[in-house]
Amino acid sequence: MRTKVSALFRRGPGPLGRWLRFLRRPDPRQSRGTYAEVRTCLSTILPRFENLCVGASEKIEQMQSDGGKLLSECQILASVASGRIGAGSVAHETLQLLHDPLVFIDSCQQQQKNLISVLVTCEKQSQSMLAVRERMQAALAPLDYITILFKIESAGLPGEMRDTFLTVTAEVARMRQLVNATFNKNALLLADAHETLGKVRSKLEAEFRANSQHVIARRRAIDQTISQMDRQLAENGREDIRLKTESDTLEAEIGMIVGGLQFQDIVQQKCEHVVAALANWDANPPSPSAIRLQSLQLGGVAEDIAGSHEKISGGIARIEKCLKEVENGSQQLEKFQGMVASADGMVQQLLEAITEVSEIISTVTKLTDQHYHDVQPAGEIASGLTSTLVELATNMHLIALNAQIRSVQIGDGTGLEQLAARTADISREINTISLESAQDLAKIRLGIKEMMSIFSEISNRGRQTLDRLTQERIPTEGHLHALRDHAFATIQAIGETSQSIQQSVKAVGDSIAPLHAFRAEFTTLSDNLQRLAGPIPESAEQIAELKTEAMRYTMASEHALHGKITGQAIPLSASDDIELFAEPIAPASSEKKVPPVAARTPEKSEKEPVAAGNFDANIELF
Amino acid sequence: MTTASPSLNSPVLTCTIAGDLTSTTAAEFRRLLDKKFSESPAGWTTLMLDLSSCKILDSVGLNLLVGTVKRAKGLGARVKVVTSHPMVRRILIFTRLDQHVEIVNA
Repeated sequence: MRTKVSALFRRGPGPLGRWLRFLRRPDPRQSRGTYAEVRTCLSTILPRFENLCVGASEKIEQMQSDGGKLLSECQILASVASGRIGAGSVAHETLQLLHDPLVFIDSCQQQQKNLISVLVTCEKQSQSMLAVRERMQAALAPLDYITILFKIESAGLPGEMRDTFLTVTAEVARMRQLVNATFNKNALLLADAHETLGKVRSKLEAEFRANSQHVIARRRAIDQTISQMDRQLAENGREDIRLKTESDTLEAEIGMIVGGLQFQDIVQQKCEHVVAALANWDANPPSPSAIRLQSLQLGGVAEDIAGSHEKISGGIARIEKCLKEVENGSQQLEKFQGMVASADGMVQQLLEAITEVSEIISTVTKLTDQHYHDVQPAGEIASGLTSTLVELATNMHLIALNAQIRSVQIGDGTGLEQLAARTADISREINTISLESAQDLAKIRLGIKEMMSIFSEISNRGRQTLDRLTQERIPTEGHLHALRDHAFATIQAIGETSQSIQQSVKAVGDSIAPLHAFRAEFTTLSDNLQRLAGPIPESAEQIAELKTEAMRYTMASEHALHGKITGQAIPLSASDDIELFAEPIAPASSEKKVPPVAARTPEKSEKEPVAAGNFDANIELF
Repeated sequence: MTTASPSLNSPVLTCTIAGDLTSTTAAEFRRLLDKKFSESPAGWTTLMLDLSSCKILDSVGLNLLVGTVKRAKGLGARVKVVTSHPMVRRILIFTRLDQHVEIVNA
């Protein structure tokens, strides 16, 4: 029975159907009150809703601005850290700064080799000088008994002759004393000189070994740092994609939220359409289906709000996750090879190179000064001894000559001639020893002079190089530090921007919290209207009436709801008042080009006409 | 401005950097660290660098830190860095110094 009544009610324009629908019509006075109430509510809700959206938009704008800033900062960081910005010029500047000091150090290495060679020779010569005293004393030893024999042989000679030989013996004795005194004085000094030369040689050899290893290692490190830079620049250019991807994702997510808030216009328009419909009902009471239509439109608004709220909330959660990734990624940059700003990166290597080269030069200069002062006394000993040896040889020669002349004058028959001859032999031996020693001493003197000249040159050049390096390293080190500080400042900026975005995210979350309440309000309004609504119409007049309503609609979702009630889809192309946003123009080679609906003719179209119900729920066509 | 609290037999040498470690303060801290290293009794195996009150760490300051860490490691010691400031921690991680020292929360 009930089914029969419903069927009668629905069947349409028969008298019974009309009578039943009349019985089910809403009370006009009650309805007008509800319409007014709904209109009043909408007029108060909409401004509040607008305020919420404006407030949230402002915060999202800030977030969007920060998002762009963060992306830019991450790109800068990747560029600085990988060396794309600034590293090449600073490295070149440092190489230029270190060029002359390294050349100086290399030349010192070479000169140290020469010095060691000279020292070895001087050491051998000073070693042989230590034996001169013994040689000299060995050569003079026979004179002890020769002088006694001179005295004995000359005892029987007349006065002048005897005095001559006595003078000879006195001279020999004096010369023996001179030799003893000279070598007593100089033996220790000679030994010291020999020891000094040995010590200086050992030190130089040790310095040479240490410096050459150190300098070679440091040179190799500098060369590697520079030569690897180009390779690392290429590799790091690929690896910073991760950071860029994360920051791009962040920016995209923020953009999505911006899109999410654009539903405000949709809500506004739909509500205006509902208000316009309700305003019309004062003078022209609506059919139940028209009321139901507006109820569904308000319900659609509530769903739009819910959908956007979910979209924004989801976006906020994803943004928070992205932020963490960006911050971690910017801190670690773990895929980068040899990051210029790292503790073992290019900047640190070059700073250490400058410091070490400076220290090497300073040390070399100081040690060279020390060696100069150590070696200098040895040169003075050499000159003092030489003059004594020359005097010795000359005196001995005169003594021998004197003895020979007197012995010849005395004639044969005495042993004096033989003694004089022997004395002459000794004189020649002394002369040879003296000559050789003088030559050795001269060589030692020359060698020491040469060494001191080299030491002096190294010391002077070292001071000049060090002074210039001390002065010029300041701006270069400043540029190296500035490059690294740029990275640090960018890291700090990323941290601050991330924090700002986090605060904005929280603010946006707080500002959209009332959307739940707005959804509830629209749902209530929709329910209020729904209570006054009737069944879905079947009469032609009602369909025509609703068609008129549809003329107001500008959105696909409104047409979709309309189609639900009428059971008919209204082809959009049939309405002259509806404007469709054109699809983005596809490239010429695209096979999926969709021509504008208005330009399509049925016989040429290969696709079904665009119907309101076929639109994607997320796309609103204005 | 740095203090240390090693006892005679303590394995830990503590150096406190009081303030920011930047180009304007690095020279002074370098002198004090040199003094600390030379005067401390032998036998310490851990160097604790206390940067709790350091809020700003720049490149010059990092250079000093790196030199100090290398010096300590050259003596066979471990190094710990105490910090609570996020900026300082960020820099230590970014420069990969955290791979050579242990970062400890203040």
